[in-house]
Amino acid sequence: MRGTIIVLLIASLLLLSCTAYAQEQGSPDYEKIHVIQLKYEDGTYAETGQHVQYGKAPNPALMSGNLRAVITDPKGREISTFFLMEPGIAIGDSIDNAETERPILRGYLERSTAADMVITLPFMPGMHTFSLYSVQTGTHLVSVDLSPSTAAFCLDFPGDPDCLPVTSQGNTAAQEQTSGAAAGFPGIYIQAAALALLIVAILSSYILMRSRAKTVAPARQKVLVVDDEPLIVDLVTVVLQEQNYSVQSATGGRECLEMIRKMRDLPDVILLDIMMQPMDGWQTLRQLKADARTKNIPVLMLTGKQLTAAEAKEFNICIEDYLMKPFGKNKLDTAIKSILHRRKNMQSTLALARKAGVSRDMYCEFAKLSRHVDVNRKMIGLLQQTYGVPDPDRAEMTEADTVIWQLSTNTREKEDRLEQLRREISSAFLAKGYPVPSLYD
Amino acid sequence: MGTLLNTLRTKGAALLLLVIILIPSAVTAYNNSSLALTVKDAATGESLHGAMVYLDGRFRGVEESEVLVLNDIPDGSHTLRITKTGYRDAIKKVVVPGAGTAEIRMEKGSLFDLSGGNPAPRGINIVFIPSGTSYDCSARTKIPSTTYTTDETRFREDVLNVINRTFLNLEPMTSPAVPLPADYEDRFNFYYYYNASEPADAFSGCAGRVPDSYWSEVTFADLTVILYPSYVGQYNASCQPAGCYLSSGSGRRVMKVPADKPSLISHEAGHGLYGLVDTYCGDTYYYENAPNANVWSSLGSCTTDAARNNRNATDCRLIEQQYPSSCTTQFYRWDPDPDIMRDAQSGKFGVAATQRIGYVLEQTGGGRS
Repeated sequence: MRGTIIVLLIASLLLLSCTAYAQEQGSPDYEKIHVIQLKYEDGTYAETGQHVQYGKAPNPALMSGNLRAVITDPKGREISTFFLMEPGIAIGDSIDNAETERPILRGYLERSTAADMVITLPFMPGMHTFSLYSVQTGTHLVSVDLSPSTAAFCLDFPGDPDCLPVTSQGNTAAQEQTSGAAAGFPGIYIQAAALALLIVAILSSYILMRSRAKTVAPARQKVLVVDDEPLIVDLVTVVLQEQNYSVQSATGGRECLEMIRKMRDLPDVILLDIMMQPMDGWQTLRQLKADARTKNIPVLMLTGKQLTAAEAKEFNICIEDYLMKPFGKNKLDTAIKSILHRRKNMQSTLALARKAGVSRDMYCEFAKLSRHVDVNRKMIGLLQQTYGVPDPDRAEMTEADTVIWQLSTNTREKEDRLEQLRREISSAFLAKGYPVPSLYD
Repeated sequence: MGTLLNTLRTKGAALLLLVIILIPSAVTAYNNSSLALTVKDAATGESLHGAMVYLDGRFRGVEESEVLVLNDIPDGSHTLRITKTGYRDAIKKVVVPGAGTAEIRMEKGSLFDLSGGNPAPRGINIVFIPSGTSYDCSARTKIPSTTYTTDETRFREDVLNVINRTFLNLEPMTSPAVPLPADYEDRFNFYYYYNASEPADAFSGCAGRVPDSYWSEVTFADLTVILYPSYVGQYNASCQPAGCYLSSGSGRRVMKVPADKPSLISHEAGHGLYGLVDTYCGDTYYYENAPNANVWSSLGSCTTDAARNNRNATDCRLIEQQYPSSCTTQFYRWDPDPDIMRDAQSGKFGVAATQRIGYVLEQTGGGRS
């Protein structure tokens, strides 16, 4: 062990020398952009090209409009969201005093049914898919897989820090600094640093493996499936067991509550069907949320083929997410993994938040609102697909119109509060140099 | 040691992966191929100093003398990237071992920083480009204009004048009821792009056309402003200047404006930068630009928003007829008249519009240090 420490010290000293030398030479700039080209024609969007290049990006947060752009990582988790205006709409204004006493503004709108669109994004490691949605209807318009152009870029620039195989942040930085000095730094030091790194890596991996060998395999995540259709319960159980979850099941709301009452270890996630007799999913959910022991268990609601307005009313109870039947194996797996990932992330981000001076209450409110807004947005889109966009000034509003209207108003209020929290938390994180937490992560 | 050997045997694959990841640094040190690099100005052929050199995306040093020698390059094809302030990035493929030398010729860039070389990190990037066309009120047609293409100083002066009278003149143009960030001026980064042989055309379509060379160099503009000189001839009742805004994606927001009409420029900036919607009734584009909207798709939405922001809900009103007389809309407004989103001659941004401007400015995260 003493030997390892000496090697580590030598390696650190060598790297420090390299760092100082590289800094004297100027600081390297690796800023990159991901450029996506889209073709818009008669209401449809199609990708026509994409590439990654060195350069600076605009600030997407400054934009607004009727299109919602979402960037996700390979696991489908949102990295960032911003808004865009529909392409092909030119808003013209001219001053006109031909027909009035004083000059007025006259509008002239040019609207094309076909237009090119270019989206320039700041490159972020881990960005995998770019998707575009209509804000008004929630309709998915286009998705672009970003990985081919990142791979093409890395073929030309394999030494870029974002292309290097990263074992840890420290390693990438070390490689960058070492190479920064390579132009004129005596080769013997580079060789020594490289060999020292190699030795450190081998010894570290040896120590790591030994320590890992002693640890116990992590406990399997527990899922409770509640549905009164035995076939669904069986199918879901088989799928989840394949994914190494520990699965328990109940065939009704009462049985679910009874089982949980007797459990010593609570489930990590509950999958709860809405349509059950005699106690339906909403009644069960209310009881779960009213009990201090169970209120923090994330609940994934399983809904029917079409979301009804009556169901939508109930969604004001905070749920983690919902899945619409019929759902595939992948959707189920992704939904559960996202929930568990968020839970896990929450712990580490809470620790950062504390260090950044953000109170636990504020951060928890932010996380809870993020989920609520995300679920509501999806739901508004689904309802509008079924019932259309409501007009509250219409003489007679249907029940669905009222629900959509209330849900939209409620969501907008939450979004405003969420935006306020996001700004406060972001500035606290940025001030400390921490990465800004993603909205839905 | 026995345990170490066992671990090496059982965890061989993981260890091998680590070695593969780290071995290139070690191997590089033993490769003796080298490349002598010279960097020159493409137009004058003079040597350039201070260029930063990257090999395969990895920083290798700064070109401080006539020749920079890069050592320890593995045999094969490599990509060189050279950057220098004021020049366009140069990318060149080289093969090692080859001639052992490479010459990079860098072209001067056409982008000029007006923020003193200290841009706000997440600031609003506004780039001006001159138009090579204007409009003739007598002939009623667009005409070529050399006002800017032959006089960079004149263009630069007009740009600075526009900046000071519009983007940095928000206090008198906005509502004091919703104070903007005190450092809002520091949240802007201004640039101009000047290539006399490739100007923009303000009169190609509604919002004008920007040359492709501009987009290859300017990737980061939050707003591109095509500035055109005054119309030719006297303005009269039926010949008044126009502005237009078109968004074709992030980094591709363009507005064309006349240099001599600051109030119209502020109105177009309302569209192009702050996402504000026209509050006059006419042939324009309405949508509820939440959050912090200045136009709402229903009375209920407007009154709810007004109540939430402590504004008088009874001031919500339908966007009324103005021109043409048959105009009707289903959208609502709140801001009092004269409202610059309705009247670009004498209006200012009302409380709702100012709130939206403040919201956009907040997205920058703060000004330059």
